[in-house]
Amino acid sequence: MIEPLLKLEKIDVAYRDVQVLHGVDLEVYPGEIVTVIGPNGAGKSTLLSTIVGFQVPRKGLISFRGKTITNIPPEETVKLGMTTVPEGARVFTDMTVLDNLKMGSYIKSSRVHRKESLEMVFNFFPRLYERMRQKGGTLSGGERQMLAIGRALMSKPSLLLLDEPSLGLAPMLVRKVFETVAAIASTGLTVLLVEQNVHFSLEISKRAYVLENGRIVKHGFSEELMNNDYIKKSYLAL
Amino acid sequence: MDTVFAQALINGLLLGGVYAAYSAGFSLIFGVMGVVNLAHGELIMLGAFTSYWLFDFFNLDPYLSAPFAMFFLFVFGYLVQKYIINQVIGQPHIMSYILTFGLHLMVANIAIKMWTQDFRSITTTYSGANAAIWGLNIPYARLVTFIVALFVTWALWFFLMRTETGRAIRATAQDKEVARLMGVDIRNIYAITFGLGAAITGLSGSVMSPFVIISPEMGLEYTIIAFCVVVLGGMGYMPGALVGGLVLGVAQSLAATYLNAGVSVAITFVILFIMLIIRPTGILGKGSVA
Repeated sequence: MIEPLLKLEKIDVAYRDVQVLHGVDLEVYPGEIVTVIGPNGAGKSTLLSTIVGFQVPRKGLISFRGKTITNIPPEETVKLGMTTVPEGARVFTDMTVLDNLKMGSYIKSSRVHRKESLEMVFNFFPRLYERMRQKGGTLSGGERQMLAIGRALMSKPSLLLLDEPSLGLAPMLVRKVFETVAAIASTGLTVLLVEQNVHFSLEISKRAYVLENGRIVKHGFSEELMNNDYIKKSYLAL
Repeated sequence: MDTVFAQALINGLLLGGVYAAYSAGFSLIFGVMGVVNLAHGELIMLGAFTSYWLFDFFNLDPYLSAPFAMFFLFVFGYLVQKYIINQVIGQPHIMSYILTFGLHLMVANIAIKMWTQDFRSITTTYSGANAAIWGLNIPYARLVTFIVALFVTWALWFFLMRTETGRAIRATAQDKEVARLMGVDIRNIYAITFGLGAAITGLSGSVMSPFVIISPEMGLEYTIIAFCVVVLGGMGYMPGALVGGLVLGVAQSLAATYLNAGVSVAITFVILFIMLIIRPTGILGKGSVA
């Protein structure tokens, strides 16, 4: 049996007195795209920030490649091979596109491969190559999202965590971003995607979890969920 | 151009160079961590004393002892950030004011206990020497400090733009959470930044030592001037310290020449006051407004 790359067991997370996540179980297997869908405020971003280590869960266990990472801070989890594309891209606006990408390969293990990684990212996003010397802040919303994804790829992760990559983008760009994510995953990278755009994220993912009010209320293969009455009614407005 | 004006201008530029030399570190520390370091003047004092004691014991020229001052202050700054100021990172700004003000009092008072309140000075062969060109006086020691200021500004810029650690410092200054996601240990970056700021400040204290009065209580007035310089140049904008220093130096010098010496200090605060109202982002408009 294949071991999961990432495994969450009964995760409880609270900000002071407010509990945000309740007993969340989640598994991501190597090579999959897994998506977590759910309405605003369901705890999707909290889930990601707990995995990378900004939040320490009150209860439960997180393991990555068989190693317990429950209490490991973000600057350490990235060294283990998981990289985040944060919500809203959050590129370094005062730094050039090239410097942004170089920051993505700050950790020593990826710094030595910087040249090849840059080539790979520029292959994926020729636009970034054209704008290499421009400041991150001068890019459009779609370009910023690409830069944030490129920056994350620079660390050569085995797991890519994406927090709402379609947020605030024009419909045409939304499609483009999802196509890009699917293309990246087809190179063998495992992806955990957190999204409000249920339609596209179910389309590109293999499995999905539905998070509502901090609880996983449904999970299964994306294809099945797409035809599930509850999902259709609540999320796809069909 | 008449000689009086030219001399006032040169004095102003040289004074401004001195201001810039000791304010760059203040700007760096604020720019990266948002910490207004009220113990900044004490770093100058420690740099000046390092040179003083090395001169006193070993007759070492202040320019030769400058590297020691830099090294000593780097270690001092690194440890202060790592074990003291890092405790209040992420808390309201008032905490860092209180903490660094406490540091100012502690360092100054420990220095008084160790070295007494005596005023000291380093008298070198060039301490009072001037170059005379076209009837204008250029004091050597100040000229060297001016050149050091230019060099420090350039070196700092080079370090921040071209090195791996410099890039991480810039990333941390812009978005510390995302920097952490990239694998940056921001507490270590903060410690390096403070160490670096302290090192260039110690360097300035050292190169200023041939022409300033050295005493454990000298720090506070330098902190105040550094604050003015950095606000003028734009808080957190590195080359701003140079611009702010030169503008303030020239303004003071012209005021001292054409009005009177007492007014020149008042001029500082008038300029500061006006700037904060009309252009809080600094002369070049590239500073941050908290």
